[in-house]
Amino acid sequence: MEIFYLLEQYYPALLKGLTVTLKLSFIASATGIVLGVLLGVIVSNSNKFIQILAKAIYISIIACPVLIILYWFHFPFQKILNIVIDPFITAALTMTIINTIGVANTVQNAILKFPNHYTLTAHLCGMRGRYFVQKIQLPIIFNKVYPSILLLQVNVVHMSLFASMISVPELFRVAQRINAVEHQSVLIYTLMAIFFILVLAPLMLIANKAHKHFRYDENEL
Amino acid sequence: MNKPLISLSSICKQHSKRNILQNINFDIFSNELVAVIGSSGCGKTSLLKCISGIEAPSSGTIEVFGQKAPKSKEDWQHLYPEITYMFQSIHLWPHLTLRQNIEIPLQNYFKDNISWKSNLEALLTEFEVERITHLYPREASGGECQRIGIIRAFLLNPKVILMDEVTSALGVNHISTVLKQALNFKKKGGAAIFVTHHLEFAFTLADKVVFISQGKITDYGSPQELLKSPSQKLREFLDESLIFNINNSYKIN
Repeated sequence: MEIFYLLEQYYPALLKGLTVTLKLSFIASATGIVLGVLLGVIVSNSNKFIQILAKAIYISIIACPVLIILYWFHFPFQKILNIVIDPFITAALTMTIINTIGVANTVQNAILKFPNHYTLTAHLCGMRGRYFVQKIQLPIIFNKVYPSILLLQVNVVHMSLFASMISVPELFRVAQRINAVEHQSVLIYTLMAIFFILVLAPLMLIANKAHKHFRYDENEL
Repeated sequence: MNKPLISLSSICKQHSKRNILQNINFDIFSNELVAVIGSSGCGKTSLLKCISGIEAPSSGTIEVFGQKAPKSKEDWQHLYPEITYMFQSIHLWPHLTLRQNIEIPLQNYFKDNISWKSNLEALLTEFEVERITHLYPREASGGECQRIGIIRAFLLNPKVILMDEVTSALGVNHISTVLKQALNFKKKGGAAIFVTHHLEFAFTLADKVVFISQGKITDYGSPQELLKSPSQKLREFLDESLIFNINNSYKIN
């Protein structure tokens, strides 16, 4: 019954924290997907040098822990430029950059590794230009990338927890504060776990189902 | 004299310093079925790929419909699907149902002309795939996908059709349906070149048989001519395949 007491008592704070988490995740997801797709398309149509550069940036960003990047943007970056940015914006920016790079890499790989035999078969059937792109290339690339992009968005929501480290009042930070007052760690963190499972498990199930549902033959001719 | 639809002269193809095709010369006319036979790795598929523009020969000349074949792959695209190629493993587009795999290229090619629709239904029935057209390629067997690819290729109404072991995944009844379609196609003025390991298929159906050994054509002519006076290489090949008895037409083991 203590759970209902906690929910009743801290309902406004939890709701506020949830709103911040959702806002952060939404900004990073929506912007990251749009920019990532654009960047992926641009890079895959660029020369080899740009593609290698993009890969190097992707590897560097992914190899670096999120918390380091977040701290870097929060402290040294702002010190170098002698500016002060709201922690929420810093967190949103960091998450957006990481998501953009992840999405761009996924899109770039799907375009560059598009199986040649599907293109060739389409050409042999007299399909070219826009019709080929609309009916064959785009749908295959979309089916290939969207489960991976969904999984990246699960990561985005996870990343939002790091924002608490730079004092962004998101859900996890609110939960920590409640725990500091109530000393109900089991209850509070179980509640957090249930919340994230309820929100993210459907997304992961959709992604996994889509991965299984859509497989293409990668063997070349 | 009838002009050839496709003419090959002195075609050579090298890959990794290996001679895949050497001095290939022959013509393909309309109303003609040409079978290409030979042991694995002799260059049959490379030959079809050169004829269809998928691969460029290292040297030699290919003429298509009386004109020198284009050099670039982009220019070759304008010849498709008048020349079309059926792969050994037909790659259907995975996001489309079997029916859509046939209809989408046909809608694009024939635009408002929908005369192909009635032929489509007839062919689906003939190839016994009419009940599975709502499935996606991953839900169908290799043989079913193969039949869908064959139907699509015939409905595109090409002038020249290149078939690379298309019957490999098919049962006897469906092979005979392919034969029937190939003969209909020939009657309508088409030309087909098919690579096959089914020698009975090659020697009963084809007007001409091309035998390739180590990248060279050693025998070329009608099935009767080839069986009458085969080269040593062809004789060995036929003996090895244990199907033919050169002295007495052929017997099926």
